[in-house]
Amino acid sequence: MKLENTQAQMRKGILEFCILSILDKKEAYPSEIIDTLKDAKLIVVEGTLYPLLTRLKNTELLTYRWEESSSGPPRKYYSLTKMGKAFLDELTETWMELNTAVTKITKNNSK
Amino acid sequence: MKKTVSVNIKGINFLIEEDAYELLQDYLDRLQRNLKNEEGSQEIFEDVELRIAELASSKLSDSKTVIELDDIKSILAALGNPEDFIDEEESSQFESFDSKSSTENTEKRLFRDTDSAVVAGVCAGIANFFKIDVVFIRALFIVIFFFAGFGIPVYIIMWIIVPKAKTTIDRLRMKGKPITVETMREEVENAADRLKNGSKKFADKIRKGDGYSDTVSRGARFISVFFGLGFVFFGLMFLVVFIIFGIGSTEIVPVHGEYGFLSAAEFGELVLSNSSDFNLFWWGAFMGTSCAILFALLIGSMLIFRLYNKWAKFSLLGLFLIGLTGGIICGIVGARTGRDFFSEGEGERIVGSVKSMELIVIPQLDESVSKDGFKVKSDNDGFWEMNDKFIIMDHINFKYIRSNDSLFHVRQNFQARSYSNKTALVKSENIRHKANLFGDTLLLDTKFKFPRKDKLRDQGVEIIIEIPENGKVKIGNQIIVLDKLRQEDNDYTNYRERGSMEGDGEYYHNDWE
Repeated sequence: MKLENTQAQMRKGILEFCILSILDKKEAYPSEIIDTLKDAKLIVVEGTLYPLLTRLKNTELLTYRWEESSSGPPRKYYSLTKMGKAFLDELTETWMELNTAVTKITKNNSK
Repeated sequence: MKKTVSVNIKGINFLIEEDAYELLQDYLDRLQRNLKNEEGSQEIFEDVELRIAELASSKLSDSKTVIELDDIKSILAALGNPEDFIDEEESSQFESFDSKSSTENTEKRLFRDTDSAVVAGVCAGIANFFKIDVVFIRALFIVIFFFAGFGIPVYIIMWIIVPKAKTTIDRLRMKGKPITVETMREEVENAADRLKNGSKKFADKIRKGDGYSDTVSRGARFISVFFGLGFVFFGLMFLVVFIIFGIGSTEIVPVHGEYGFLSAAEFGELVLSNSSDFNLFWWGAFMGTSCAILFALLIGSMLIFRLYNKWAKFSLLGLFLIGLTGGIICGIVGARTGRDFFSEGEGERIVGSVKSMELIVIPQLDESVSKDGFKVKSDNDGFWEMNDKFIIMDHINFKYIRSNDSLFHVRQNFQARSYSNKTALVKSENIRHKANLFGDTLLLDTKFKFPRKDKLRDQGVEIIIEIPENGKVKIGNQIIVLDKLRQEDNDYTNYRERGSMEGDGEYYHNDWE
C-alpha cells in the first residue's frame, strides 16, 4: 500500500463534506471553492471537483444560479438545498464522532 | 513567428497560438472521451470549459492579448489529467453516502434494469420506477402485444429512448422515491406551503434563487406527470378503438340482409373506387392512426419519466413524419374518391301512360330482390342491403308535375355519380328498379339495386308522375292532387310536389320544395 494512495483516499473521503461546509457559509462559484480547497491542500487538481459538483447537484443536495461576471464567462453560483443542509448536518455529526474517535485512538497509542 | 487562431470558449473570444490551440483541443477531446459514461457528462464538460475560459481570461492583460502555449500548459496542469477526473473509488464512496441518507429523497429516474431483464430491461425498469412487481408490467406489455402487435413498437421505442442503468448511482436513482399519488400529493402540499410563506420571505427566496426554483420545478413536475398520464390514457383508449373498429373485422355499419353489419374495411371497399385505392387507403390509415397512438404514448411516457433525450425527440419526429405520410396518402386517395362524385348522370325510362281519373300506386315489397322469397321486413335501421353481386337500397323518390294532356304519364329517373358524365350515365343505367303499369295500377318495387362493383355513388331512383287536370294519385291511404291554388302561379307548368317511399312501402308526402 502506497502512502500517497492512502492520503488521497483520506482526503477524498471528506471532500463532499468540505464542499458542503464551504457552501453552508455562503454560496460560491467553482473557482472560489477550488481556492478554498487548494488552500486546505484537499485537492491537487481542479478537474476532480466538477464531476463531484454535478453529482451533488443531480442528487439535489446542491442547486445553482447563473451570474454574469465582468471579467470573464458567466459564473455558476452553487448553494445548498434544504436536503443538502440536512445531509451536511448528518455528516457534521459523523465527522465529530470520527474526530473524537481518531483523537482518542491516536492519543492512547502515543501514550 | 507563431500563427494564432481565434477561438470562442463559452461565449468569450480568445486569440490563441496554434500549438496552444492544438494542445487544448486534444485535452478537450480526451476529457469528452473520459466523461462519456458519466451521468451529466455534458454539464461537467461545460463547467470545465467555463473554468478554462475563466483561467484564460485571467492570463490576459492590456499588454498581453494572445494565449500562449505556456498559459494553456499551466491551465491544464491546474485542471489535472482528464483520466483522473472520474475516480471509481470516489464515486463508490460517494454512492455509499447517497444510499445511506438520501435515497428516499432522491427523485427517481427511469432506467432500463438490465440485471433483471428478459429482453432489454424495459419492463423491469418501469416496475422499479413504480415500485411494483415486474410481472404486472410484463403482463401489460403482453396484453398490448395482442393488440395487433402494438407491444413490439412500444417496447422497441422504450428500448431506444430509456437509458441503461450503468452505475450504482443510476441504480439508486432507479429505485429512489417512488412517484405515487401519495408522494405527488405531498409535493403539491409542500409547494402550496412554500407559496403561503410571507411575500417578503418569498421575494428573498426568489432573489437568492433558492427554494423558489424548487417549488416551481416540483409544481411543473406534478403538471407534467398529470398530462403524461392523460396522454397515455388517451393513447390507450384510441388504441382500443383502433383495434376494435379499424383493424379487426368488428362490424359497425348496419346493413340489411345476409351481410348483417359491415366492418370499416368492408365499408371502405364499397366506397373506394378500386382495390389499389383501397389498399393505399388502408395502409395510409394504418400508418396515420398507429403513429398517432404511438406518438401519444411516447409523449405521455416522456412527461411521466422525464425522458427528454435526443432519442426520444428523434422518435417523436419519426413517428410524426410517418404518421403525416399516412395522412397524406389517405388525403390523396380521399381526393381521388371525391373526384368520382363530380358528375351526375341521369337516365330515364318511360313506364307508361294511362287515361284515368285516378292512378293507384301499389308498393311491391322486395320479393324480387330478396333471396329465395325471403322477405326482409325493413324497419329502416339499416342503410342498405347487400348480397354478393348487388347493393340493394330503398327510399324511392316521387315527383309530381302537371301533365300537358289528359293522360297520366309515369317515368323512372335513375341517378348516379362518377368522375365524368359518361361514366355516371353508365352507372345510372346499371340501376335496376321494377315499375309496371297495369291499367290504372302502378306496381312499384320499394327497393332498387345496382352492382356492387359500381360502388356507392349516390345512386337514386325517382318516379315522375305527370298528373292531368283533376286527376289524383292514390298511394296507400294518401291521395295526392295538384294544389289548385298553385295553378294560379304564372309558371305553373313547373309546379311540382314531392314524396318518398321507404322499404316497407310506407309513403311520406312532403311539402312544396
